Amino acid sequence: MNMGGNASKIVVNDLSCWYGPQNVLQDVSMEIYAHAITGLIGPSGCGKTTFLRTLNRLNDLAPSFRHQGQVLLDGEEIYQPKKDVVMVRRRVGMVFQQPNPFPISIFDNIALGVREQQPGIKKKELLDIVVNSLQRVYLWEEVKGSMQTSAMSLSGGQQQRLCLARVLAVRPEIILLDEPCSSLDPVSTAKIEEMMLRYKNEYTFIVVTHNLGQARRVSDYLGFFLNGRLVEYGQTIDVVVNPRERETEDYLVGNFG
Amino acid sequence: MFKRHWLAYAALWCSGLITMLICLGIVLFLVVKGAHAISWQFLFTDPLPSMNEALSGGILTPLIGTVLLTTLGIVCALPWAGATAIYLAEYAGENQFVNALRTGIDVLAGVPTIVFAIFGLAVFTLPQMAMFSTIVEGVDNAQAFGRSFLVAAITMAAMVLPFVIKSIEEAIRSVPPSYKEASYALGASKWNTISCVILPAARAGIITGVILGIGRIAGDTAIIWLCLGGSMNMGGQQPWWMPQHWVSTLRHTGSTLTSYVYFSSPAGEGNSPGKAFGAGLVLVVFILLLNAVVSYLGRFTAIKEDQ
Repeated sequence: MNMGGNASKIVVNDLSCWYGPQNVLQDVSMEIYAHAITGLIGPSGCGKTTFLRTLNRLNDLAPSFRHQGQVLLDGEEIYQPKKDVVMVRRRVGMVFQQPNPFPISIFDNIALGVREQQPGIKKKELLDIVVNSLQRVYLWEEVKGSMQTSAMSLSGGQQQRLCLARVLAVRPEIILLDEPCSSLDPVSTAKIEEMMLRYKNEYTFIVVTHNLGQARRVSDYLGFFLNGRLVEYGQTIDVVVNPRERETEDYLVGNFG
Repeated sequence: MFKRHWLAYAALWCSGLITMLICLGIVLFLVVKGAHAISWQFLFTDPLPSMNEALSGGILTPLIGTVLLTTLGIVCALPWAGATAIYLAEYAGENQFVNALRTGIDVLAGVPTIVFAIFGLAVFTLPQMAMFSTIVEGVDNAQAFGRSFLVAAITMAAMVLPFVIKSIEEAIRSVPPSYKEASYALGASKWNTISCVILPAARAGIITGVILGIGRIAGDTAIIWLCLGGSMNMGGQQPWWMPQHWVSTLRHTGSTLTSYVYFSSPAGEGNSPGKAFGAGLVLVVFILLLNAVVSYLGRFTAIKEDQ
């Protein structure tokens, strides 16, 4: 199925996941479209964060994690045994629910990833990338005088935008956002949403959110997860206005959540 | 019931009080007996071999010996302990070999320092080890002397190894997992994540481990006694502080504050009790200062994590 004319970027086929004996995802099949914003909604514990973390193999960090099924990035299985997981993560960046800047300076937070991917990069180029990334998340004006101060001194909203800037700086093709605004003030939330809408032609965004308003405002496609299954998936307008499944409708009108 | 409760309370309270009194008693005793010996001249003249206290000089070379030996010891121990701690915290996982390694580290932590000293001496008197000390002339079987700053420093490094490994491993493990995830999510390799994110974040804990190691080295006597030798002054070519004599100084014997206390005290081999107490006081102040730095760093990180 191709909805809305975008090429597909990630194809997930019959994905099931376990943490130890606990089955957290069951037979999820989903196509993620390039240069679009895909929203994932659902109540807590429905598996949407686990799903997100399979897309950059971050679940590999949990020793009890196990999966079945395929995750194809541009047609290539990212879980094939010889795949370099570092290269997968360079193509699929991620921003987390809690802002987690490194306890180093604002400048170094962004420069760290860039320096690793482009060893020997010239100072001028590096500075350009840092400034440009900060501008994209509307943080530059707020921090331009304090690039060498610790990132820990920023407010929560500023820290989260810094985390976003540091992902933008390494130019991944896909950016995963796990409830990026759940602990933020409305101003920072608005700036992050604006950034996604403005730059979706350069990246592919997948955003997990608890905030239905946010899902409506930014996403082109919307998937609804419940109890480890993908209940409904389609263009946001269709899912929101005219849900096919009863469960989706109940969730959207607030009967549970 | 009430009576037993009261008794337990009193017993606990007394135990605490006695511990504090012992600590205060030692420090006060040292201050009373040793403070009058301390002067600029005491700190900055070499010790002289004399049974007359007034003519027996100061503690310059033992003081420098302590600083030199702790520095050398920790420089040897840190890369070794750091590599082991990184392996244990980030790579090892759980298997038979790792369990054996952990048990080995625990056993090492319980070995008395005199055993390290004897072992060090046994190894470094082998003629093949002569580069660390000097070759003994005029004996039938070729043998190294086995006593020098280098020998003592390497033996000290082995002695503090388990303590430094444990505190560095603890520091690495207490770095929030979110830093690691963030780094991986940026496409950083495992090694870059460790070297650029985890180690800097664990810096305060690593410094604490280093300072604890320094404290142990500065306070140890058994290894000094057997592996650094029995001279008050530097044993290499004189003057020992000239750069061209540094290698010779490191390969020869010397003294530290702990061995000075022994050699100058009437309980040991000397006759200068005031100076022995003075040197003891200097050593205790040195170690207390290190501990103060540790607790300052500990508080500093605690505050940072609160935010």
